[in-house]
Amino acid sequence: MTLFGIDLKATLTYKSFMLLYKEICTFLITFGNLGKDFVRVSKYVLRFQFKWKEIVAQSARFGVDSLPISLTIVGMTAIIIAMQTAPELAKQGLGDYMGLVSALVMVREMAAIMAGFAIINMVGASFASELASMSVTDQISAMRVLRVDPVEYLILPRFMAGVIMMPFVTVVAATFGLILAAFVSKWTADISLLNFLTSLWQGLYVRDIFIAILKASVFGGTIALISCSCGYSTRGGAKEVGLSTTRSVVWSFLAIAIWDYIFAAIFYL
Amino acid sequence: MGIIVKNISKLFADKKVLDNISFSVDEGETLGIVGFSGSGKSTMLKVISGLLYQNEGEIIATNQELPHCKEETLDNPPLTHDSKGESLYCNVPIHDDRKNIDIAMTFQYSALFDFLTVFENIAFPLTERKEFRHKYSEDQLKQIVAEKLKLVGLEGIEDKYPPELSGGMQKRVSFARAIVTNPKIILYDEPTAGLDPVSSTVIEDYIVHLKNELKACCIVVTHQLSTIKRATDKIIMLYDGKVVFSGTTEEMLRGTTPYTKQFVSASLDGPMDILHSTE
Repeated sequence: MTLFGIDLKATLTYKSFMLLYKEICTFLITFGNLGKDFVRVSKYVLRFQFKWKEIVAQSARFGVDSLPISLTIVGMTAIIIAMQTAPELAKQGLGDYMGLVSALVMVREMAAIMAGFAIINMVGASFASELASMSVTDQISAMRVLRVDPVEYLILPRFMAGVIMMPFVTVVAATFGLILAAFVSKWTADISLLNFLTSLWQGLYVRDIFIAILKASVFGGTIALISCSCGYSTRGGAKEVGLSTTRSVVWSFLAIAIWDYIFAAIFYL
Repeated sequence: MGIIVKNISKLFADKKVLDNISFSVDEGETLGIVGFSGSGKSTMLKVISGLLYQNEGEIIATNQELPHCKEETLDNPPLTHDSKGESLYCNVPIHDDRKNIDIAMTFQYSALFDFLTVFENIAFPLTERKEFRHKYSEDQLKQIVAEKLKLVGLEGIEDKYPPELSGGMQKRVSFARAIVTNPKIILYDEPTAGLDPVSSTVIEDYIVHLKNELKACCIVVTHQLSTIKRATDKIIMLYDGKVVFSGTTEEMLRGTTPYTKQFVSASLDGPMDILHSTE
């Protein structure tokens, strides 16, 4: 393809547009696959048709794999927030409100989102690469020839594990974060544990806890579905396995951020 | 049960990978599909197994045992009748009746589930497929798996994981998994690729053994002459998605046409342009 003697295909503009075109195609294909897999998973969920053995196995894996890193990340976030906030509040004579601030920050936002980010890296990436490897080595094709639905056997249990276990991880991580925040507040601003606890109860609303659990459940299901869908639709070889895993992580991050905004807009606006 | 493949065409984007392919395989017969890499052999198997759908043509399972064949839904009239004149066997389009037609397929790289043990791999269709779920007790499963492993000459490896096995053993385990439901149609995708000559011979012997044992209709995709010679009864040769030869294994090996002659002699000279192929 030439114009005024210039090979258009060799120009940077053409290459940039082609790259953009490919990215848009990949986005649409991924989005389409995700929608298709969501519909197929929903059918099984609505029929209450579960492979409990697989769900238990995947749930155990989801919880065990993600808990240490989730606790670490949420714990560190709680420590940092307490280190920076407690002395300032104490200076303003508002040290007694530290528990309330910690509860609002942890329960409403930090525990679910930070645990979500940890789980994307720890569990989501592992789901995506596992299913992608199975796909490129014909294991998923073999399952289809054996007339076992890979969506029911592979995606559904992981999705359910995400929906069930993510709230558990979030609740444990939030509790751990609040305990650490209490000790850090005592250490950095001399806020007594009793004052912290009293104030914490004032900021801990049952509604917030339910919203946090619902949000965590949605995050867990979304991470599992995106990761499995990206892995399941992989074709090619080792390079594509890596690309699918990266895509699953990027998409999960984006989805979590969007869900977080939706929850905030619905429940706190 | 046999297979009749009628005028199958398959396109990927604008490229015709299979172009009007027709052949038939009877019960107890093994057809070899041969050809150079990229000629459409594996695609043909995937179409038969239902992993891919054809753009044109149909695949018929012959002599399917169906107690209530509905003539109007069939492509062909029933083949045989019982004394009351009711249909016993009929021909059905394979993808319309996948529930009743058990097709087994072994893959080039075995495709064993590497997170399951050999036992779990072989028992997989019996424990996970809808119609078999909860049908067999743990003891029955153990017995069936042991029988199938014995059939492929591998006993006592139930607790091993696939990565702990050699390539040849993995292939044989994948054979055992494929035949655990006693299928009547078995598809082999390059069963001896990447194996040493002795292991290849073992695999070829098992292909023949399983065909006789199960009275199955088998299709073997291969480009290895030893497999063609030992394991097949008749051959179709594909080139550029078209059938360029169809005949018995003997005729193929004699090189009676320019295509078979080039293939058997592994020569660059002949009607098949491999070097400039775009595949």
